[in-house]
Amino acid sequence: MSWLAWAILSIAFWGTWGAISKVALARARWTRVVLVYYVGSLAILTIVMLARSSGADWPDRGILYGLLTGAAGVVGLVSLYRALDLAKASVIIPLTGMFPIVTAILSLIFLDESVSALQAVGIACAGIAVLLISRGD
Amino acid sequence: MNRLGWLGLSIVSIALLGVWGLFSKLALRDLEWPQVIFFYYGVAVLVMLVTYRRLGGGEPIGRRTLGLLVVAGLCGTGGTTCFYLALEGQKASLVVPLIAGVYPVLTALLSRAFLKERLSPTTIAGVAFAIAAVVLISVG
Repeated sequence: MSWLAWAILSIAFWGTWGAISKVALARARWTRVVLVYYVGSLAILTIVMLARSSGADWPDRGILYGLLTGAAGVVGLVSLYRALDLAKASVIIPLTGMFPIVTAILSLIFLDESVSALQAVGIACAGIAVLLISRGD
Repeated sequence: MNRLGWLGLSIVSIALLGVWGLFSKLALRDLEWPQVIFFYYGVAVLVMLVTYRRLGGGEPIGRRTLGLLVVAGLCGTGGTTCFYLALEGQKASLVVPLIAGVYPVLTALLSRAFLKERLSPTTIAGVAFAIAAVVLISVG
C-alpha cells in the first residue's frame, strides 16, 4: 500500500477513535476504558514488533528512552481521557491534537533544532487556539 | 485530577504528549518504531494495571460496552500503526500535517453527526487555529 493510503487509514482510525472514546466514557469508568485500550494495543503491537523487528538490537539508551516514552505517553493519554470525560470530543480532540507543537519547542531546546518563521506563526496560532477554545463554550 | 477541569487536563495532556514526542524521537535514534511503541504500550499497561487496582473500574459493564471499548482500542492502535507505516514511505513534513490536521476534523464531524455536539463560533475559530497551528509547525 502507498503512504497516502496508510495516512488516510490513520486519519479514519484516529478520527473514529476520538468520537467512540467519548461514547465509551459515558458507559464505563476511565480506568477501564484506558486499561482495555492499552492491553489490546500491547497485544496487537507485540505481534507487529515480532513481525517487523524481531532481529533488531536493543541498546540500553534506546530502552531508557523507550521507557520514558511510555511514562510520558500514559499520563498524557490518561489526562486526555479525563478531559474527554468532562467536555465535548469536538473540542478536546483538536485541542490536545496540538501536542506536536510542544515536541517542536522541546526539540528546539534539547535537540538543537531551529524554528522557521512558519513554525513561529504556528506557535502563535496555538496560543490563540487555547484562548478561543477556553472561552468558547 | 478533576480539580484541573477539562482545560487544565487538556494542557497537561498536550505537555506530556509533547514530551512523549521528544522521547520518541530520542528512542528512534537507537530503536525501530515497532520497538518504541512496544515500550510505550508495555509501560502504559503496567501503569494502568496499578491505577486500576488502586482506583477500581467503576460499575460492571456489559458485553456491548466491552465491545465498544475494544473497538475504541482497535481504532487507536490502527491509527498509530498506519501513522508509522505512512511515515516509512514519505517525509514526516508531509505525513504529520496531513494526519494531525485532518483527524481532529473527522472527530468533530462524527461528534456533530452522532453525539449531537454543537460548538459556538468562538470554539469553531479556536479549533481552526489549533489545526492551523499543527499544520504550520509540521510544514515549517
